Amino acid sequence: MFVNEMLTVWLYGSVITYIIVGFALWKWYFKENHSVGKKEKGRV
Amino acid sequence: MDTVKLFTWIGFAVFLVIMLILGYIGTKKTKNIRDFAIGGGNLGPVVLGLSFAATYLSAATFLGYPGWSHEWGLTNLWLALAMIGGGAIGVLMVAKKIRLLNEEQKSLSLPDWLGDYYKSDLLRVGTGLILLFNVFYIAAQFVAGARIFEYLLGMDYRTGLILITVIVVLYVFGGGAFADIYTDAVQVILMAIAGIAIFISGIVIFWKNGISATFAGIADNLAAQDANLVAVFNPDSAHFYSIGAVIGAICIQWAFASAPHLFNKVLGLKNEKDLGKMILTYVITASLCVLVLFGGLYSRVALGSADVVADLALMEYVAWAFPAIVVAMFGVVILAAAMSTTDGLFVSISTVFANDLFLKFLVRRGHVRVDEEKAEKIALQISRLTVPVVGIIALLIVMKPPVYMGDIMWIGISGVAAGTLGPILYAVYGRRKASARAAEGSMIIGLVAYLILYFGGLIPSTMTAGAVATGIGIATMAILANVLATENKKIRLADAEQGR
Repeated sequence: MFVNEMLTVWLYGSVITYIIVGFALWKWYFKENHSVGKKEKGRV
Repeated sequence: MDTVKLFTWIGFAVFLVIMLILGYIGTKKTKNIRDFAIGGGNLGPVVLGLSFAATYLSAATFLGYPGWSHEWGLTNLWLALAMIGGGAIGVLMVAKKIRLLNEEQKSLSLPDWLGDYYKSDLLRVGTGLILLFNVFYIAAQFVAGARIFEYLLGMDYRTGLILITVIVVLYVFGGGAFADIYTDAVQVILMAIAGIAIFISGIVIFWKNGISATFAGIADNLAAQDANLVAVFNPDSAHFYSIGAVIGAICIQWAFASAPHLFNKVLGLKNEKDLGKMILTYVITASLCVLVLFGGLYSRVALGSADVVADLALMEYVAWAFPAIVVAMFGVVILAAAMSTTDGLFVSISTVFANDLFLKFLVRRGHVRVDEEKAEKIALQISRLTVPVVGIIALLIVMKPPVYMGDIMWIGISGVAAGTLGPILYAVYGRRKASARAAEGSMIIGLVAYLILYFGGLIPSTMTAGAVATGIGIATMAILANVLATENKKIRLADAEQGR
């Protein structure tokens, strides 16, 4: 526990939030763009 | 004149000159309504990501929300999670699909986009009118500006209110979205620096042999004042008094990410592939800015509860902890936060009148007969003239200062979300396109539900009432879309049988 219940919720909640947001960003925006770019290169 | 006043006047003067120069450059680049609304759809991801963050994080983040921290204690940290989690996931869910759908439509705003997508003028006009709820949002930013002038310059609240209204209206009147987006980028960088400075300042001032010990000391001080100040759910809080209310706050932040003035930024991006970079820029910047919520907690620890106006709690702490020049700089940052959000809201409301109601409804449907070139010119004039009219209405709403400016702001956001999120989400995630009647039904029922729940006094929290009404709007959309699709299918089958 970090100091008390609410600060623990804030600290670990923030970490979990960043993991979820980071994963969604990578999967939906960066990974797909990267694979689309590769496919387009392959076609050329 | 004391030192704080002198530095504040100098800081405001320098800031306004820089903003007016950027606004002037923006005016030069603004040739038509498309430039005014979405910067010609030709802007880069980092600038737009910064602008998105600046618009998402208004002066409420710097005055209203630390005020909540001061009044309700640690429970307000739920707000940080809701803003970073709910807001970011909301924009991640809709941004890409909205851009994709807009490649064909070339819409300029949310009413335009919904009206074109569902082919419904009722939806276009109705959504446009719902956006007028954002006058409350603008009014809240004016409160922030007036409070700053009141606190730092010793002005009367009403004089400060008139001054901030005049400054913002003159500034938006010229530049439109170009000025909005470039000045936002400058403003949010100042806001992020302020967020970091506030967070670290408390750790330095209340330092006790390590981070845990420091925060333990802060929590002990709060608990000694009132045990509820360290509770996970504070019964005294208007928004975080139960798990249901917290879920409501997260949901409404998620819904807020689709707000029309933010929507403009997604449409303004030059290259769709850059959406990821834009959202990443927003998440990083917003994360730094929301650290300012700790300022309200530090304020409570340092000053206690006596005679501190909630909306000025952060400024009281800054004045207590920092030298005069830094206090003045914080004043400028909060003014920047108010302006960066307000100009975006003005642009989105102006676009409603000029584009959605005039060009796309009155001219296109032949209610007003003018050639295309003249219509464009009139639209640009309407978009600019709307600014002072909306400014005056917003000013009148807050002539009497509210207890919490954040609550005034959320009246606007919740009303817009309740009326529009059902049709937006179904457009983005529905398996097949819903009928216009379903979207219109969702808009009307979502909005009416919000009016009854909040203004009828059934749910006192603006955020929770907004979240419940938004849920009702989304559920109505899902039900009507399926019911009407089945009805239409039956009618088509009956017609086919008759034909045979």
